Amino acid sequence: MTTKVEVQKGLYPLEVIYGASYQFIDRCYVRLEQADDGRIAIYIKPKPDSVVDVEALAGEFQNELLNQAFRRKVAQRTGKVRDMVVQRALYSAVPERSDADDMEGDDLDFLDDPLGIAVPWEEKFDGEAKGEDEGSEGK
Amino acid sequence: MELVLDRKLYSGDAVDATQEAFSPFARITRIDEDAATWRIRFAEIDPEFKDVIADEFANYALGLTAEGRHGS
Repeated sequence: MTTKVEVQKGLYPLEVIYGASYQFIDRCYVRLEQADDGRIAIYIKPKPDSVVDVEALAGEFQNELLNQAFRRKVAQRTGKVRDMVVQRALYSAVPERSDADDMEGDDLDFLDDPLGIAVPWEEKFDGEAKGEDEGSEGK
Repeated sequence: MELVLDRKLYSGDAVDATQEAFSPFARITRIDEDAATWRIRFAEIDPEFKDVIADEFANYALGLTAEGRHGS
């Protein structure tokens, strides 16, 4: 048994009808036909071995049309904001320039260690400590 | 057995893809005589799918058409 839902194309755009139909094709057979007066007829038939009430299906389909129409409206209103949020998220995922990148072309004389900062303490003062010990022993 | 689909409601690419997907189950011919409709003729149908092939074909084509419109 098949039920029919008719909609005015101006009231429900084709994208809305497709969206609603897509939700039903797993459990029903859905067929679209163009009527002469700008209306679209949607024929809905339960699949074999299905125990679904056909009239309930028609009601569900009409509800889904409203749902899809509302979602489309919201998507249109929030499209720009959504694009901005995605752009921001993608931009924040880009790595920042590292310090090494900033050092290109800078003066690198500090690598020569003019103040002896990189010299280990033992290496720097060990000779002086040995010299003091020797002096104290001689007294 | 024949199936008629409105050209304004079912995309040609979707019908082509469906014809290919269902080719293991029947010999399927698309007749383009009418500018307003796709006429799909089924022959040598696998007996297991004889009762449902036209409906399943229309469903499949509708699904692909809907997916195409939504960009997926």
